[in-house]
Amino acid sequence: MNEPDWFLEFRNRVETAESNSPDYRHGLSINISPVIDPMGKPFAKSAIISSNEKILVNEDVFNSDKILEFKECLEEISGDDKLQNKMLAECTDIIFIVIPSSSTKKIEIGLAGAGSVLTVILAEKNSKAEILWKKKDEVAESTYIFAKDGSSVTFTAIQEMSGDCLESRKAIISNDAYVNWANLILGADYTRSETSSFLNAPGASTKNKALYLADNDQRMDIYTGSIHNSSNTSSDIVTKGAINGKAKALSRGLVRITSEAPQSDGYEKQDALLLSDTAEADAIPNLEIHNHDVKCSHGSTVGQIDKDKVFYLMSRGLSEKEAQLCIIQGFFSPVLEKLDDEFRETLLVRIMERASHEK
Amino acid sequence: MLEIKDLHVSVEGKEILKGVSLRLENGKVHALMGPNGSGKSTLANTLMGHPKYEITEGKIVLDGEDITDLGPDERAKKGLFLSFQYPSEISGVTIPNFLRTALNSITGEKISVRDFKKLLEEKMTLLSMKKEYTDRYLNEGFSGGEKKKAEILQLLVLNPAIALLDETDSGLDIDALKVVAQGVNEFMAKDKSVLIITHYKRILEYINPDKMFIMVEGKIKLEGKGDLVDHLEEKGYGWIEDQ
Ligand SMILES: Nc1ncnc2c1ncn2[C@@H]1O[C@H](COP(=O)(O)OP(=O)(O)OP(=O)(O)O)[C@@H](O)[C@H]1O
Ligand SMILES: [Mg+2]
Repeated sequence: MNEPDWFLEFRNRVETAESNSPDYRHGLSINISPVIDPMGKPFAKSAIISSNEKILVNEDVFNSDKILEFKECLEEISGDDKLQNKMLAECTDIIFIVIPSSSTKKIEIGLAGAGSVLTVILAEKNSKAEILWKKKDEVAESTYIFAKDGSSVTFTAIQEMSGDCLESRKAIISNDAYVNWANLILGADYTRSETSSFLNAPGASTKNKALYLADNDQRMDIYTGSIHNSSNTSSDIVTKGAINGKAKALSRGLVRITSEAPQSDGYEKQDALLLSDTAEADAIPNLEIHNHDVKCSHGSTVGQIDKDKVFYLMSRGLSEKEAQLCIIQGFFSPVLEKLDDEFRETLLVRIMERASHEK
Repeated sequence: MLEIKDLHVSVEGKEILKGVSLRLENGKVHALMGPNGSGKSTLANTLMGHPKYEITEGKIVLDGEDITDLGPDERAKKGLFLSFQYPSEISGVTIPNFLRTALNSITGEKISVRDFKKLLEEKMTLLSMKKEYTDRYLNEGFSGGEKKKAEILQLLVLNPAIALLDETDSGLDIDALKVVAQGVNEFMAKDKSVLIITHYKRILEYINPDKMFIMVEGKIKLEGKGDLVDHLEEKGYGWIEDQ
């Protein structure tokens, strides 16, 4: 199928934005060139997309009776960062998911192959969606959630990729709508993950959880953000990771409360647990508050596994490995309870397999 | 029987224990007293195998077997138990889950959830511990006294051969002290061995020691029968120097 003009325009727009934006710099001092298909190959179908429910993919989007809604969503997408714009400009696949007004849906989606996937999730008024998102291989991802008035979207992602992982996710949240992100980052040699929520109307709220396990030579650069643009909005960010081997992880968080957002709450907490002497981590919380009538807090910790705790548990008969596992599970436990069952199990299994392996 | 032979122990290059020898015999209650900083906890931690404490000389022999180089988990499996002066807080693990895992590793068998529940409830009742404890994470947010009680609960459930109690009586209120002493006596009823490290005579009134050791500056300066504590209580540690 040929690309409609308006979509080509969209890609040109973000392309231009890409070339105008400054080079991307991050804290791990690694250069990456994204492995995504070059311009001029839209709908290359390089990604392998699977789903338990019927969703609109590529041509389906353009042939569907929801095309106007899709175009409207695209209007609102304005890239402000180079990598994200590059992924959009060079996208190879498109997914469009509409959760109709007042309906409830649970959708499981798998992404594999190698391509750049643009996903738009539109949760119409008062709808409820639960999205389970699984990634393998080397797909680049740009995902946008539009949560309309009174809707609620839970987006739980698990990444067990080879190669590099590039993902940029944004939620645009309307009146009294709620978006709950949970991101499990386990794979990829290099991960750059960005998840932010834009609280654009009164009563909008969000939670944003990022959990990661890094070992061997893995590099992870994780950004989580809450942008409060309206009154009575609330946000809560929790980032937790365990780093083993020679892995390095950087987590950055941002809570921005603009002058338009009185009576808002924003929280962020970032913790990193180092499991080996060669692992490195940095956790940087940022607050930008332009309003006095708000509640805000932030905190971060980076620490080694407590040797006295390991000794305590070993003195009760647990092996060193079991003792470490117990401590790592304890470290994650505050965020485990509210996680989807399958994801919790996967995380626990991966902790067992990887986080406790020999240094 | 646990034999400690001429033990020299250093922490971060500094010698703390300077040749400690003593024996813990089966069926006997032993008490260890000594001024702050004399090395009592160092001895207890070293016996349990804390990696931070480096044994530079001497050895530890359990029932004829040299265990000087064994890890803490292996010592636990051989029947050693330490009730910590400062127990660690372990979040995310409830007492029943943790203790069942520990018991299974020590015995090498799998106790059924039902049998374990029965065992745990029996010991908790004995220690007048409220049921709520079973929902809480191990030692997390416990008061000083609650932590000590939880240590004795672990002692009773794991049922080792030799128990080292490092200031388990400190921080306990009058009733809790009685209950804990009762717990220790129940443990002792089965031909076990215990070493009570304490600063106070009080606990020794409930659990009568057969043997007493006084440690000063990393050495056992004096040993004697249980009544040694009375002399100490009366005259203070200065009196040791004159002996
Ligand atoms: N990890 C350590 N690092 C440095 N010094 C230590 C360490 N552990 C113990 N020490 C020192 O060793 C000495 C003995 O300490 P220890 O805790 O064994 O004393 P104690 O007899 O148990 O005292 P208390 O009655 O106060 O509990 C002290 O001077 C202490 O400061
Ligand atoms: Mg001590």
